[in-house]
Amino acid sequence: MRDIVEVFGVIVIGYFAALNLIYIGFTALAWRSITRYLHSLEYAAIDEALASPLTPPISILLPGYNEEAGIVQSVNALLQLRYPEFEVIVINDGSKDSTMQQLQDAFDLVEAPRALRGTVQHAPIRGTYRAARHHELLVVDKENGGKADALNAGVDAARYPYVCAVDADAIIEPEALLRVAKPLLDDPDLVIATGGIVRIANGCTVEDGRVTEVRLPSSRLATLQVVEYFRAFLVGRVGWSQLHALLIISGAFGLFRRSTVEAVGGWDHTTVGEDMELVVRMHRYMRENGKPYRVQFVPDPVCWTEAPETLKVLSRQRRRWQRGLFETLWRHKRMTLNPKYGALGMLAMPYFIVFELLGPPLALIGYLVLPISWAIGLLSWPFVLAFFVFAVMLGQLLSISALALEEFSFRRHPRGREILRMSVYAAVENLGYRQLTDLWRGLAFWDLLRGKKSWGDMQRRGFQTAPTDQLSKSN
Amino acid sequence: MIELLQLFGAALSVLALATMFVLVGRRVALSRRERRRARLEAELRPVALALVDGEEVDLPRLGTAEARALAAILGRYARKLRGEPRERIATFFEERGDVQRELRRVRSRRSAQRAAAAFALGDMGSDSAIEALIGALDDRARDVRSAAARSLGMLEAEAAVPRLVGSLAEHEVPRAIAGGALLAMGSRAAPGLRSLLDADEPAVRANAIELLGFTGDASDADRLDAALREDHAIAASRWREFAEVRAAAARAQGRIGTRRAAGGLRAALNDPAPFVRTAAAHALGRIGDRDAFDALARQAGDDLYDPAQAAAQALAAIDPVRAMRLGGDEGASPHLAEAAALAELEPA
Repeated sequence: MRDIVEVFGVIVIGYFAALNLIYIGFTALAWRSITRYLHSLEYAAIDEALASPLTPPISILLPGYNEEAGIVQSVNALLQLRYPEFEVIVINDGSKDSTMQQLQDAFDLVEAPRALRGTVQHAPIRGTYRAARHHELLVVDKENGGKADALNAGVDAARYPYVCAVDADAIIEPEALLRVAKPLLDDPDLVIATGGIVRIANGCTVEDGRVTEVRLPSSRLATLQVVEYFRAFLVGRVGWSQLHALLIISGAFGLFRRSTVEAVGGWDHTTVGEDMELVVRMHRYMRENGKPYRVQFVPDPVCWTEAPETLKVLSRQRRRWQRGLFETLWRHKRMTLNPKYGALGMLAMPYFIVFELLGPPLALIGYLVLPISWAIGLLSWPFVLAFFVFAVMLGQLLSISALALEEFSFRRHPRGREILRMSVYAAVENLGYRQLTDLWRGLAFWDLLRGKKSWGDMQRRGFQTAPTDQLSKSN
Repeated sequence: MIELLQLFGAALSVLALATMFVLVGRRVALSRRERRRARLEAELRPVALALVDGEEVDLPRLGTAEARALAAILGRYARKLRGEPRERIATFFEERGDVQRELRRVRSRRSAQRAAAAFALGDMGSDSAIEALIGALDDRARDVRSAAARSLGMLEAEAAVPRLVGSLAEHEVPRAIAGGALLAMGSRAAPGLRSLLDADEPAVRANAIELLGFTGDASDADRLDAALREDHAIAASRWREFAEVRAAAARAQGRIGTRRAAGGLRAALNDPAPFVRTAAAHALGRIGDRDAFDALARQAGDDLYDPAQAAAQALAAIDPVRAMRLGGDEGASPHLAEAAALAELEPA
């Protein structure tokens, strides 16, 4: 027993050291990359691109299931995006509520046939509809098949060479499409997918489907996620993108070359991690066919989304993400440590298996082993305490450096006092919140053993809108 | 070991606290700087407007911050102005030595400095920067090349057209920026673009033709027609490059919109490359060539998705009533049915 605990202790400490060295490396990489990006943005000539007829047109895909509360607002916001040429394809995925009726009433839809490409599989389409006032809007009404299936129907109906997948409850900033498309404008022959940053809209004021005032959430749980997202997006995704091994483009907002999506067969509706799975499959396809390509993260275009404010919903979300991660890594396991797949096979896949997939259960066992080691006299109590404090302090510094990265670059939270609040949350997220998310992610393995397939409900409270008197004043 | 962990833990917490203080302190300093800049710009705006309007301005002695604020205002105005007001802005910057300073900076060892200088030179509007900016298109840093291309467009530098098209063809500068710079020159870019229609590299020809479609006129129809009929009996490895030239020629003909182009475009409906057939169908729709109706109807019924779609849309544009009738027939292709429904929804 003593030997087992001792060996495990060495593994935990080695694992901890490796993980944190990787985090430190990624933070340095992200600082370098974002600094360069900000410089390039000064000369990106975004306004010129907006006016240019050479900017490629994009089909925006908006899948929706039971989205009666916000679908009209979401569509209106998308129709107002700043981009030279685009179409919005709303896919009603067999909603049981009045989503279709809401669309019908708001946009005076008229049934109009749409020729389909027939390149990807999806559940049958019941009808396609156009709006006389918005020529760029198409509504596809189909039988229920899930989000991935709805996106495939959107690809089938898409007219343009690029498709942008957007969540129905996400808020895309007016210039976000242009910014996320910037890599395509720079390297149209090379870039097959790009994604932007997801930020948390809880606490922000939303008017007509746009975030008009950025504020931190009043909920502590949501504020913790704000800080957590900085680390995930500004450090993690920027770092992987730099290494040409980005495995995830958020399902809430991602841009893809349509022909590549078609070539790999579209989104997979048999996994709950369909966004990651598609990106990995696209990587795999391009590598196996010897085609040069790039998948890029752009830290600037913002997609706002609502974060869970209760432990129950957050737990469900994290367990689902972890299941999706496992399913993707398992399906593409042959890429792991396979030099044929470059940095993807040799770095990203092993990292995601060792640190993202197995990390939470290992961390949980570590939390148990430390006190056991002390109890059996293997470690002294001062050592256990000193190690724990050291680990927490290192975590705090990494969280605060991610916050510093945000503050030195995009500074989306204009209120000075919110910096202080976020700093405090960055410091305390390592005391309890991290451990809780590790627990949920560990429990995802139990879900996998039970064969759980469902997404689970994501109860939304809706965005905070401006008070009506304020709205009337601004009109 | 414990002491070491304690020491590192303490060091990390001090570092974290220091970072927090830096963040808050920096935010306070930035807010102050922003307020100062806004105040200075508000004070100097009347002076800037007077300068642009050509009024006699008794310019007070400006400190560094004031000079920077005035330059920022004039730079923003310069992006929206042409003609005499813009020349006045250029004279202002030349007389103050700012243009010379940026010309020195464009040779800096740091790429960020070179890019900033290349960008600023466009805002200053001085023609004396053109040569240096054309040189900057060869810079090793992409940001510098992009800034130079954008500035050459702002300066409407005709001399830069061949080099800009080359940058576009070689992907040395983002397509939207190089293309945008050429389009910003408007018809002044056309002579330079015409001179590239005989370039050896098909990519250069394709890009020049594409842009000529926006900046050229009816007199270009014959040369574009020749490009559309370019011999495609070439090595298979370069087949796509040459087809891109023909597709660009078809799009350009459609944009220029002369009926003289119709014959060549009808012939292009039989091109082996689907994207050339797509471009030709769109162009015929833009021109409104009724003689192409039957050929387009066949293409809308039999061809691959994109050319068939383009043909159906062209039919709806050429003769909406006939297109509606065709699309309404039982057994009509999905593309025709879609085009007919659209024609009904959006009557011409």
